[in-house]
Amino acid sequence: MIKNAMRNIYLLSLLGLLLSGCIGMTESIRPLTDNDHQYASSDQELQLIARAEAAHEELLSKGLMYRDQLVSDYIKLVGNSVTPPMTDGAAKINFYVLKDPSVNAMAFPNGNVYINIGLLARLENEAQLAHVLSHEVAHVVHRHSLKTSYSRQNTIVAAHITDLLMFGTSLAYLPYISQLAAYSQDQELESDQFAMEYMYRANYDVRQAQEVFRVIQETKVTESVPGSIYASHPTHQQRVAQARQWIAASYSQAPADAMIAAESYQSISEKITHLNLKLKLNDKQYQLTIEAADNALQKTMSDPWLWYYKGEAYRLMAEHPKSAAREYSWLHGKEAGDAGTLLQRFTDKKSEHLEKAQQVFREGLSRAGELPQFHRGIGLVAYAKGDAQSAVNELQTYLDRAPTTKDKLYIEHLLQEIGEGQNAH
Amino acid sequence: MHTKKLIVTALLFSWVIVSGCSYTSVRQHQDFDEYLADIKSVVIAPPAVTIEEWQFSGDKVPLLEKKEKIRELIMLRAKERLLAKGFEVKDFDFNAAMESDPDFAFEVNQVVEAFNEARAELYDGKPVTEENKDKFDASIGPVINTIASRSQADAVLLLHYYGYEKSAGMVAKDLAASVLLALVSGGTTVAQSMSGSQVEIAFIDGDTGAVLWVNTKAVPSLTAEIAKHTIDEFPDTEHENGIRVVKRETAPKQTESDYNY
Repeated sequence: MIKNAMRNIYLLSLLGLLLSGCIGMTESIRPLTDNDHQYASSDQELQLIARAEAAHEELLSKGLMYRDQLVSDYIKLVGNSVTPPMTDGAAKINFYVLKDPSVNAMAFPNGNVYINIGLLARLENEAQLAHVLSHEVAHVVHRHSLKTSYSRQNTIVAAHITDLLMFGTSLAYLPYISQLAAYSQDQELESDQFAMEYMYRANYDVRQAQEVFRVIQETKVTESVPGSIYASHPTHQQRVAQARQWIAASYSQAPADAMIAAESYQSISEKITHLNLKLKLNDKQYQLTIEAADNALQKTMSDPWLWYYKGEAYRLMAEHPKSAAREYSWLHGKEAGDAGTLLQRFTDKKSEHLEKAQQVFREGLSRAGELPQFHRGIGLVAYAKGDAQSAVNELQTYLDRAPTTKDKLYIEHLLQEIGEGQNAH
Repeated sequence: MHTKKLIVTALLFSWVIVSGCSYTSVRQHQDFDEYLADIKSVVIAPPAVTIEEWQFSGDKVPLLEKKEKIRELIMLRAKERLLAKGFEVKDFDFNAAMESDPDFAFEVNQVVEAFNEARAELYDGKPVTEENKDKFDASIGPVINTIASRSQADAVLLLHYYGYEKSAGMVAKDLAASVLLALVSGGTTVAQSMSGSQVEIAFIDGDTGAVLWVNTKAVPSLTAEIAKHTIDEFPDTEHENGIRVVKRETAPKQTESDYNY
C-alpha cells in the first residue's frame, strides 16, 4: 500500500516537473515588437501558421470574405493606425471583414485579423472599432496562439499521463479543460490592456474601450453563456471594471483632441446594415434582426429593406417556432424557462407573429415605397394563414416585378401547389 | 439484489432484440413519394470533408492529401449509386463557378449552414424506428434555389464526411490504457480502433428545399466505401406511366455492423 502511494507521489512529482518546464517555455516567447522574437522559427509556430493559411483559404473558398472596397480600405486604415511597429521578420498584419452575423472578431497566428459584419454593425464609432482591432492585433503581437498551443499541449500531455494512471477512465480530462479556459481569460485581459495602449498611441479616445463591452453585449444575461463564442472570455462586467481601472491608472489625462470619429464610422455602418440583417435572418436570429432593424429605422424610415427584413423576422418566427425558442433561450439564459414551455409559447404566438409580419410589410409599403419583396412577404403570410387567393395575387405580383429573383423556383412551386389545391376544391 | 437487477436488464435487452424493434439512421420526408415523382436529375454539391490525425499532444492535424482523395472517391461512389438508382447526375463544375463568383460560393456555404440547422430537427437524440422514419418535414427553404437553377438539377445531394487516424503515440497510449485496465480488472484488453469515418448524406428538393432523405453511418476505418453503403439505403425506384415511384420493400435493413447513431 505504502509502496503504491510512494510510486504515485513519484509519478505526480515527475508530472509537476514536466509542467513547470513547459511554463518556462511559454514565458520565453517574445512579442513581435521585440528584436529577438524569433517568429516562425519553431516547428510548433510553423505548424500554426500553416494551419492559419489553410483556414484563410477555406474562408476564401466559402465566399465568406466581404469584398466592398470602401469598407475594406477603411478597416485597413484604422487597423494599420493602431498596429505597433513590428521588428524585422515578424508577421505582417492583414485585416479582413467576414460575412458572419455573430458579434465577434478573431486573430490568426499568421497575422490575419478578421472582424465580422455582426460586430461592425453593433459598434458606434471609429474609436470602438480601433479598440476591437487593437485587441486582435495584441493577440498576434503577443503570440497568444503559440502560447496557448504550448500550454494546451502540456495540459493535454499531462491529462494523458493522468489518464493512464486512472486506467483510461478519461475523467482526468475535465479539470484540464477548465484550466485551459482560465488561461484564455488571462490572455483576453492582456489583449484588452495592450489594446488601450495601441489606441492611445494612435490618438483614439481610450474611454471608448469600456463602451465596446456595453455595445457588443448581445444577450440579455450578464454571465457568459455556455457554448457561446464568449464562453471562454471574462464577463463583460469584469472587462468593463478592468478597463475603468486601467483608464484611471494610466489614461486619466487623455488628450482633448483624442478621436472618436462617429460620423465617418456611420457611413461605413450604413453600408453593411442590409447584409447584417440578411445574415442574421439566415442564422435564425429573429429577435436580433428585429432589434437591429428597429435601431436602423430610428435613423431612417424610408429604407424599404429595413421594413422587409423586420417583417421577415416576424414571419420566420411564426414558421420556425423551434428556432425562435432556441434563440430566446440563448438570449435570456436560465430565466427563459425550459425548452418545452418556450416552444409551446412560440407555437401559440404563431398567429400573432404572422399578423405582426403583415403589418410591418404593409407599413413598409406605405412609408418606404415599392419593393417587390413586400409582395413576397405578404403572399407568404397569406399562404401561412390559408388565404389562397391573396397568396396567389401577391406572389404573382412579386414574380412579375422581380422576374429574375433567386427564389423563383420556390415561389413557382408554391403557386403550383396553391393552384392544385384550389382545383381540388 | 445486484444479480436480480442484472437479470432484469438482460431480459429487457432480450425483449428488445426478440421483438424486432429496429431503429434506423434514415430520416425521410413525409411527402417523399410526391416529391420524388418530379425528380429526374440530381447535382452533387461539393462534399464537406475533414480528415485529421489525432496526435498524442491533443492536436488534430488535417490530412490534406487524404482529404482530396476521399473527396474524389465519395463523389464517385455517390454518382455511381445515383445513376444506379435511375437518376440523371448533372455534371456541374462547382469549383469553377465558386472561384469566379464569390457570391455563389457564399450561397453554397449557406446551403450547408441551413442543412446544419435542419439537422438539429432530424437528429434530436431520440432513436427513430423503421416505422417512423418517414414522418419528417424538415426544409432548408429557398436558399437551395441558386444551386438548383444554376446546375439545372431537380435535387441536390449534400455530403458530409469526417474521418480520423490516430498517430502512433495515440494508439500506444490507448493500448497502454487498455492493458492497464485489463490488468486491474482481470479481464482482456479491448481492441482499439486506429481510424474511423462517418458520413452523412442528404437528398434535398431543388425547388422547395425540403429535406427528402438523409442517412448517416460510421465505421471504424477510414474509407470512402461508407458513402456507397449509405446511399444504398435510398429507396429503389421504378417508373409507372412515366412517373417515378418507390419500389416497396427493397431497401436493405440496418445491421449491427453499421454503427449508426
